[in-house]
Amino acid sequence: MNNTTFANPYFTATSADMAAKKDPANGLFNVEAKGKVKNNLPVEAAVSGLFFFYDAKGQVIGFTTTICGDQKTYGCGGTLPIKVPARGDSELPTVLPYPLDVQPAKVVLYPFVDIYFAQYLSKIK
Amino acid sequence: MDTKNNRLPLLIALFVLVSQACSLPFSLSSLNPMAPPKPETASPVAALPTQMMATPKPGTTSLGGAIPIQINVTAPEGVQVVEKAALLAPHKEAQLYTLYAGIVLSSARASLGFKADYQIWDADVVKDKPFETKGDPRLWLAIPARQTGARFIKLSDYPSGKSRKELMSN
Repeated sequence: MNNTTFANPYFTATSADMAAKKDPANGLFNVEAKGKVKNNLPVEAAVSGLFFFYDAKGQVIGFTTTICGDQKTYGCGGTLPIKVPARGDSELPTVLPYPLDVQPAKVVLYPFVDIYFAQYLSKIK
Repeated sequence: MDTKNNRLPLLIALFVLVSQACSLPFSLSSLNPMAPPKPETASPVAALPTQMMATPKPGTTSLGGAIPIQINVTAPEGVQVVEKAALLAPHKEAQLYTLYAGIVLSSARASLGFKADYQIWDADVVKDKPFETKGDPRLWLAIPARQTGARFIKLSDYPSGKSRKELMSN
């Protein structure tokens, strides 16, 4: 965890896209998003993602994790790590679990490690 | 759900989240001779004070979706706040709103856990008497040295369409 010889950063978000659909019944926007993350480490690893959604003024109007794509299984209070091959890419999907008043203008994905991540680093020799 | 009418009591909700971040006893930071010294504390847990304060964001509460709440975060030394947000979000299957906070932190050294105390005010509550107070929840957050950590925190559910008195009596 405190080793600074590993790649920095461990993960790089290479893309983030979203689709916002307006619900004609209430005028609110239901949002789905996905992002790609590159693993900069020489071993398979697991990454989670936190998506932030911004309006045209750059204000945060919503956020969620990768786990919220399957709320019935996991709930929405934690994170769902997704495996990424060594020096490879993986896609992180999500569904915002609540509607937004305004259409988001931008989405940013922040990849991060979870508390079980160290097991992967231990494989680096 | 008639969110326009039901959310009114929540539109003016206010919460203050006061968090104290701490490196756990099994933090690996002590194994690195280059790591900065831990702050002195009375316990083996090195306390790194973090404060989060959130207030309603004017002008964002008139429609039916999530309600952004302004949040301020003071990070401990060596930890930087990359992004932060809080909001009240309508629950899909019940007359509830859920209070969420999201934070992204980066740390110069490894950090393995946070503990937090927070308080929530309804708008007409005297400010020295919070509507709800919770203490010492463990927020697991692993941040390897020089990396990013994040949490999507579900704090509480609140019934919508009820007055403060009704909420307090539950």
